[in-house]
Amino acid sequence: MNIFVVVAIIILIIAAIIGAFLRQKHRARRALSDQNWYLQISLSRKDALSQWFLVLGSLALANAVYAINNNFGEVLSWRLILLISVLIFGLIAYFGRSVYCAAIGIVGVLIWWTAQTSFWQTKNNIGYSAVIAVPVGLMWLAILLYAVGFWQMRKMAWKRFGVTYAIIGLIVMNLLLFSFSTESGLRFLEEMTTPGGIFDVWQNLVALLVVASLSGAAIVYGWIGKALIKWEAFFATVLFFIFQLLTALPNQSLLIDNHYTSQLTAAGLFWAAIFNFVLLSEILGAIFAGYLRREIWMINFGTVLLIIFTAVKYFDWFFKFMDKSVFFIVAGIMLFAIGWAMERGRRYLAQTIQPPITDNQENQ
Amino acid sequence: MGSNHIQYAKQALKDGKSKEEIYRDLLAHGLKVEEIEDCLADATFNEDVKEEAQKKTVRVVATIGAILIGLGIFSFIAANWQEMTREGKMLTVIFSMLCVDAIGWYLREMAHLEKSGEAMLFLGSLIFGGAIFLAAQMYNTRVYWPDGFLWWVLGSLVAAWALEIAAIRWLAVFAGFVALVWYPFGIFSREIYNPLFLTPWLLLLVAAIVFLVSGFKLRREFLDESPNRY
Repeated sequence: MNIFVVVAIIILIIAAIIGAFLRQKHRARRALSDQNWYLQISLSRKDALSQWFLVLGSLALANAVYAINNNFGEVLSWRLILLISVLIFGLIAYFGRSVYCAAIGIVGVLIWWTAQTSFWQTKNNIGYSAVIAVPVGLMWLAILLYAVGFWQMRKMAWKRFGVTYAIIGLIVMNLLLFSFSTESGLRFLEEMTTPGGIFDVWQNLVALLVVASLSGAAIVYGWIGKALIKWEAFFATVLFFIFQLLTALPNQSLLIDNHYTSQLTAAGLFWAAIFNFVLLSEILGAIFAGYLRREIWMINFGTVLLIIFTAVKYFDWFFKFMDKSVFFIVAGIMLFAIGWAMERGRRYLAQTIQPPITDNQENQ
Repeated sequence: MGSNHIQYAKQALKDGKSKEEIYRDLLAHGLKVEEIEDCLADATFNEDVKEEAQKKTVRVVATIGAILIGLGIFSFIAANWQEMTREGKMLTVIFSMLCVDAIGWYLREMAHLEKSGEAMLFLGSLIFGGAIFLAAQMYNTRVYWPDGFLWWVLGSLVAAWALEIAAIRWLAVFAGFVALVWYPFGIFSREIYNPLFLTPWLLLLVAAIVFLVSGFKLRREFLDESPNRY
């Protein structure tokens, strides 16, 4: 069977499972209250259908552009076609007020960035180092999305868009920090700091400058305009500069391979500690920001991330060194304790949170 | 407002009393207008829920029935594949589709059995989709197979536009999703390699226009209903 058929079947099955799960959640949430309408996947059947039509229309248009390009002998690269598709999704998201199209468009931008910056590096044939533009650019785009999301959430009608941007931003931030906090992530970082340098690929440099300007402006503008809480602005700035630092790193030796195992060097230990600390701070920060902003979805989101973080890091750090029976007993006790603490903490935070301020209340 | 007032309202509604009469009676008992409104809302709530559940049950049962009939028609053709001529197969499918659509239209418009009629019309759209693939296979048409789904989308959207049936719209979403997610793989892996063999950009363009026009029309209706939440 064709590999694409298998992939597509798997995608369809996963989509069906996620769809069924989200529908269940959506129904439960709708039954609870109308107050958090902006957290709903769809507001009505008409909302869902119209958005699906717009998504499929955009997709058909993007496919048509791709097919025409194919018929004319691939005048444009597939990356440019992807960028055109993103523009199509963006325009239709704006004119149709469609959050589904907006979400797909944003994911498209992130994929395009990854593909295009990797291509520029390959084209210039100067080693692996310029690929650092991929994670750095993605992190800056994630910060931009987060700030723009909270800026947009100030308008009640656009709040669903804002939440979508902020969630995608948070997911990307977490994925990047999580990747770099693991052994394979550090190995990737080590490879990216081999001689070559970001400055040898002018396209990546220019692209990074553009994204850095946008991201930096979003932090400053968000802080001045009070779309971002000062702690959020501070943390976003720290993240911004940590990743900026990665572009200027000299050749690093982070891991020493020893037969079938590998060991962290002093520099490796330093970066592992930095990334793990920043990741944990980011997750706790999300929960804290949710509390300050009175947004229950941020608290829930942060809580889920904290559980995943704790479980993964426990396995990562202690599985090799502890007796297995002790390992599992400690894990069980720890998870139970975390669950107990989280239940209490989450209940406390949720109870102290008041309904979010709306446009009408602001105007009064 | 007590539970006895709600009970009274329930009983009165069951006895066929009008809401005006119930208002008058409860006002005489000293209830305020807001209290009577709450009372009537409570009294009718369970009935509304029951009625909604019954409607849903009818819709689900009828739709499953429609799907089974569709399966039956195609398994009949498959079982008699060797014996039937091409024309026989096509005529069976077309005749089934026309019959089912006619029955559906009659049930919905003439007999006012909305749910059953819509289920039959939904079946008509299913048979239409099956007929596309059957025709392509019988006549060995050289097309990229997701094209069949796109033709199905076009037919379903036209039917959905005319009949305003949500199930047919969702069918179009399903068929469109399958086709359009598959398409880039085909182009990328050069499965569609010959321009003369029609990498059917025109079909894609038409599908895009139809989806977008339908989407914007529905979206406009939604935004009119919900101008401050999107």
